[in-house]
Amino acid sequence: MRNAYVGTARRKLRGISHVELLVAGMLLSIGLAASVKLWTFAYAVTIDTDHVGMAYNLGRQTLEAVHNAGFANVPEGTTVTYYTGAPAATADASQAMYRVTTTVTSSAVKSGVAGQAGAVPADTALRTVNVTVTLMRDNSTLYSTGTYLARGGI
Amino acid sequence: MKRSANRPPGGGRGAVLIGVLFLIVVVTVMALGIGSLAVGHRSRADTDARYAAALDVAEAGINQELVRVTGNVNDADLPPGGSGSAGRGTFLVQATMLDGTTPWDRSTAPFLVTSRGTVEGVSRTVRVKVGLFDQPADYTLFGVKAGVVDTLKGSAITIDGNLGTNGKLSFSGQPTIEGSIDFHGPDSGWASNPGGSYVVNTYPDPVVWPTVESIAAQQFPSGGLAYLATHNDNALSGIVNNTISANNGTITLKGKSGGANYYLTSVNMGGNAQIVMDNSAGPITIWCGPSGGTGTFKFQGGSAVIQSSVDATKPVRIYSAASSDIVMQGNSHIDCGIYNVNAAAKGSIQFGGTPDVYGPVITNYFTLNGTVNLHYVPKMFKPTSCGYYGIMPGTWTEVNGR
Repeated sequence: MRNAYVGTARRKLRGISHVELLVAGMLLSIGLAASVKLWTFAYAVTIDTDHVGMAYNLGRQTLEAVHNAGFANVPEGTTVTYYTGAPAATADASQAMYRVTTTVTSSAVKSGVAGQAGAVPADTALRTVNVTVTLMRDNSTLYSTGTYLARGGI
Repeated sequence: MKRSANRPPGGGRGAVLIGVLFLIVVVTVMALGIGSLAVGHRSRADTDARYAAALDVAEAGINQELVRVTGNVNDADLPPGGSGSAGRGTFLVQATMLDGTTPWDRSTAPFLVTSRGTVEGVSRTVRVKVGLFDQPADYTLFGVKAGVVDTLKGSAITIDGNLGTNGKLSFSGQPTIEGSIDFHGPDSGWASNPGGSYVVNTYPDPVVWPTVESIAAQQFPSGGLAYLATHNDNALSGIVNNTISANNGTITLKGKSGGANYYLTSVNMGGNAQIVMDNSAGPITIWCGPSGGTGTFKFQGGSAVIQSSVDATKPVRIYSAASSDIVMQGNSHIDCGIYNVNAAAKGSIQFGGTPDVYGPVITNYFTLNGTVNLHYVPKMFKPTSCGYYGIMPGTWTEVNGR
């Protein structure tokens, strides 16, 4: 005897798996697209974090070098240094990833012009030091800091 | 009966759909986790950057405070502290005694300077111990003006203490210098061979002395010398029109508790007139003005009731902002420090007779003749350049640092 149910089931089941698969596929693609977007966002944030970390370490390194040189020996004016990502500076700006700009200006000078290279700070001067780290790719400022120098100070 | 071969695999309605949805949920949760971790790390990096910058700002506060107190101890930031800014942050700095709480008394050294730097909500606090790094500054006689020749003529001059100059020095004869001779600055040295044997020191930088105008402005912020012209203690001793003129008799200038300030535009004493400084009630300061004035300033006498060797808390000082010379005549004991450094850089000190002077003489330039004895009295006048406040090695600490 023929199974009445089979005939009925066949009519009811015809095409349902395809539709189901299509819908499932659509949902999967939407979901995966969103997840991929999330993943790329996380990747970009991670890259950015790397840059920020590198930048503030370069900034700290630069300012420590300024402190090390001492109040009277830090050159007046603006100094620019380039880094590829390695601790040592590079002379080739075209290969650099980061640019560190150090600006030193004295409130009083014995000779020269304050804020310009060659000026000699007065003993009573307060020297303003600003350090800025820039990402060369898009000239965005990653990190900046500033401090003062004084005779007999830090 | 056979199971239908046409039944779809899995057998359940919507099994694939459910499976896919479940997969999406799992993947999304994982991606969210990764994203959250990345953002967290980014946030941490920002905080670390602010943390590093905050230390720089705190140290900026320390250095600014050192410059302030070196210039003028009265400018010290006492608790609760003074604020400022550096870089992309702000600092709050204060000077205290070594207990860390009591406001600094503006004279004791060493003392503490504490600075808190804040950058975008992140704060760090640094504390240092500050000492006074003193260079030679106490002189019995000092010539301030560079490029001129200060002269001592004769062998009967005695300087009890140190002699210093920013200019050149010339001896005619062999005066007695019981301390050292200090040359300050690149333009300072012997104008001619002294001929005698002296202890000589040279320093690379000239000593910077504040002008009388700036001292008056600091002590009397309401107008300095101009204020003193109309707000003084001349009436205490019966002085009118800001002048003293006498050929005989004794003129007594009285001191008072907290210090009496006399403002004079002319002092002309002749004959046997004498001036007596009655500082028994307190210090006496005589301001000779106005700035660049050309009045006559001829003092005679000048002994103090309370000599500085007996009580140094009641000093007698003469500050001259005038461009005319200060002439000190007489053969007696003179108890006063004489300060003749003015904005015009003009005027000198002249001694006539054979005075015994107890008090430093700081002047634009000097030429001493005859028999003059100058005696050292400590710490009457302080230059702005000699001596500075600096951090004592090994005393840097971070308060509540991590």
